[in-house]
Amino acid sequence: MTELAKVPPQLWRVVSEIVDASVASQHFGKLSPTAVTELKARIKDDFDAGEVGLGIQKLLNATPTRRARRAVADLLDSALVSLGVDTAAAAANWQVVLEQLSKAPGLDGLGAPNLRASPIRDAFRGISIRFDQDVRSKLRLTSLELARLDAALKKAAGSEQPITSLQALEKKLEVSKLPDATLMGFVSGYRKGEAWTDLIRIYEAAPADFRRHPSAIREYALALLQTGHADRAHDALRAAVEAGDRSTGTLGLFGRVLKDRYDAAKAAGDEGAKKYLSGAARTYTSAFRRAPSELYPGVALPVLLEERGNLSEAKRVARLIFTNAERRASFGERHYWDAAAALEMALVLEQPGDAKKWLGRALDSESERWMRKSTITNLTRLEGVRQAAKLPTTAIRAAIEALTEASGVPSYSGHDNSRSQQLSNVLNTTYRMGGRTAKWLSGNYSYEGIAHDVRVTPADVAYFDRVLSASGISKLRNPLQASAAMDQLIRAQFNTVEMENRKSPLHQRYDRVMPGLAKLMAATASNSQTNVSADWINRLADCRQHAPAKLLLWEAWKTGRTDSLLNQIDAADHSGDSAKLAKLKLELSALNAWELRIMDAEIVDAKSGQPIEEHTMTLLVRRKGAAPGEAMGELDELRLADSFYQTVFALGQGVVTPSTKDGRLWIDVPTKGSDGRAIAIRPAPYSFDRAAPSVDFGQLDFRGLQVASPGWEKGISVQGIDLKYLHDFAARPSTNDGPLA
Amino acid sequence: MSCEVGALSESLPPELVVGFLREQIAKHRDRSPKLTDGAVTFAVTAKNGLTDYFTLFITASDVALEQGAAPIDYEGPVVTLFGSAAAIAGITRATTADGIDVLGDRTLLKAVARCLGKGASMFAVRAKK
Repeated sequence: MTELAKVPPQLWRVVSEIVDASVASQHFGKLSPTAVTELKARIKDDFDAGEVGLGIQKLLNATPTRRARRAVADLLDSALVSLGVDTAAAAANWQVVLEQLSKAPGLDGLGAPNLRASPIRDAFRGISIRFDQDVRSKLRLTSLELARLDAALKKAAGSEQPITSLQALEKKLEVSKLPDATLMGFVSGYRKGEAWTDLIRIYEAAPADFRRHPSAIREYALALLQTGHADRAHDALRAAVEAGDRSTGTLGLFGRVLKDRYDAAKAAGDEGAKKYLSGAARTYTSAFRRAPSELYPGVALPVLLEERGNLSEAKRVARLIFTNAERRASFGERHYWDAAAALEMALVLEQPGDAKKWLGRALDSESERWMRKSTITNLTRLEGVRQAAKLPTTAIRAAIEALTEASGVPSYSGHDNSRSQQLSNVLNTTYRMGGRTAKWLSGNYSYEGIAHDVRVTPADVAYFDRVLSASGISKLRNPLQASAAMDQLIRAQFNTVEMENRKSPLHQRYDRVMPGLAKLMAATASNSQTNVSADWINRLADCRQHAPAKLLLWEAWKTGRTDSLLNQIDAADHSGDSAKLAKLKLELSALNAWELRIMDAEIVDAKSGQPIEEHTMTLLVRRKGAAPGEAMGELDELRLADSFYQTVFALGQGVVTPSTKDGRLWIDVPTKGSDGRAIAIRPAPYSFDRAAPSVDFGQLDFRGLQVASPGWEKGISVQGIDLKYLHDFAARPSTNDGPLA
Repeated sequence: MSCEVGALSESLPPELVVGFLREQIAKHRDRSPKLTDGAVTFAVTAKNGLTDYFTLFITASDVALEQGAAPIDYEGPVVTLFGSAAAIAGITRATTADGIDVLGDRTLLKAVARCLGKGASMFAVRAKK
């Protein structure tokens, strides 16, 4: 009989910590301390007997629900990967893995780093890692390897023959060991070059974790569709939907697969074609009902309903989408999709005046050929349905022809020029993100040595939705009450009363930990971003973390309220209650007029203009209402809405009047500073909208390091995580630039 | 015999310091005839904690400076120096290069160190083959 390999101590330590983390997260339900000790003892007995698989099974069996089991399994996966355990090999044979672990304990040695693992990642999932010099060395080497991978990927993608270069690079790398961000870089590169078979190959060779990412599945399904594998695309998307992915992106693509199948079956004279049409309509409806404030993929729904013969429902959905498109267009930003959606709905509703107006707007909005092609495809479908029903199609044909000939270059730049000077002054020196286009990053860059570009991804919006729901704020209807409740929540989360005092122990700790974290994680100037949710989870924050958190809470609240009002409008429309419908539309317009915006500001002495402090703050902007579909170009009210300074400086609430001084925006604050001086606010020279598209796919990044993969937004506690170990290590003076050895 | 090494302020941006090193290597490479191929990546940690990567790509005809680490598919000899901006600047002042961790190809490092004149102390920190 061969001697069993002894279970290495680091494996037991990690499993023991998973038990503690799971108890804290209530994955085991209510478990008494005695029961926890007993559970640990039972697992330890199995480990001591060399029966690791059995011990792990006992850990998983202690979970009362399938969801909890999955959460604990995720923690376990993450922890095992960080120890260098190949989880697929472990499932087959633990003995081999144990032997490898015993020979090369996880954190020792400075060999090639495992790029799919990181102790920081585990820290963010609630597993306490003992940080020591080796962890730091490992993180630095990981950072170097990631920088080298990134450089290789950029070089290949930017070359004259990007697909050939990416293929050559892929051959040199072991795909199964690449980190998610690199894999997504390959996927994006292949998609841009329409190298669909390459995309399919790399997805299928990628680790299982990556293949579970919703955005990766969508790219894969799209590639399958493009290569004529509609059945496999259908299976991949159906599996994603069945696994709980109800995102509008996935449902939209799934709807499209079913729609394509319907077209193919219909063309082939298949009698069962209609079941695909019903499936497509059902899928699009599901996505539309989930987020009626979004335009995609609901915009494809009315034509399908009409084709199915559900004429009144088609009109009802079209009316709601039309109202929503008008609402979105009222910011005057001239987005093509707003105008195109309003045009399509006007044609479905047979409203020639509106169709003419929105066709003009669509032609005068910046658009790319594929965008116009997408609208033309929908309109051609509508034209076919109407022709089959022997209905007039002249207006539809005119729109198709105008869009076919359009250049996509508008006659204006940026937005409607109907904006008042006062509103422009406020908008040009403030910014927001996460609302209409979630994949933006921006923020207070490199202020006093700590770079703070903030990422916002759709996953953040989902996470802050959870934060909002747990707090009960989502039930509030009044914007000002909601804003005040958000402040209360944020200030409790970040212990802001103490943070407001720059000399307080907490603020001093913040000043030590934050630069330490950047050093520890070896963030680079081009990759130093943090993420609004990572900051929330980290629970250590000054004004730079407060402002984006408030913005995300606001956007989550406003989106939730908008969705709720649109659903109520739909119900009132359905029941024919015109008085209620008019009232709800007014309520929607009133809500729509409010925006929360961030300003990188200077607090100055109101008399001398001398700067007192730099500050990142939030303001509430209300615009004057306008006729439906017209731009709200006038400022109605500007309010202080800062969640950070409410004691030292009273910037939490109150109406203020913006003026201009020396060509810059100037806001007098009605209350005085704590030293009795009258103060004013003006934008810092670097305060402007730096929002830029990012290549995020929903991962959680913190100080340049990926700390969690998509899916985190469903599992991580809305309160955040106790990261004391990480903070203590980052705060130590020894994390400075001493030699590694 | 050492190369001519000018004094550089620690407050200079790292790309200027590394650019200066590039000039020194280009100017004095005749002292290291074997130095025809290699990439030296500097992982420079600035005072604000951020790390920036700069790479000197050395070919027979050129020493080119590029922002970023040497790509992972680069096949020539590679050396990576981890260090603070002050320590990297210290190399050019002929002081010992304490606080710099060196990983990579020993032969390349030796050749580069010769070009930098006083870089031998840097080499003494640690080199891994």
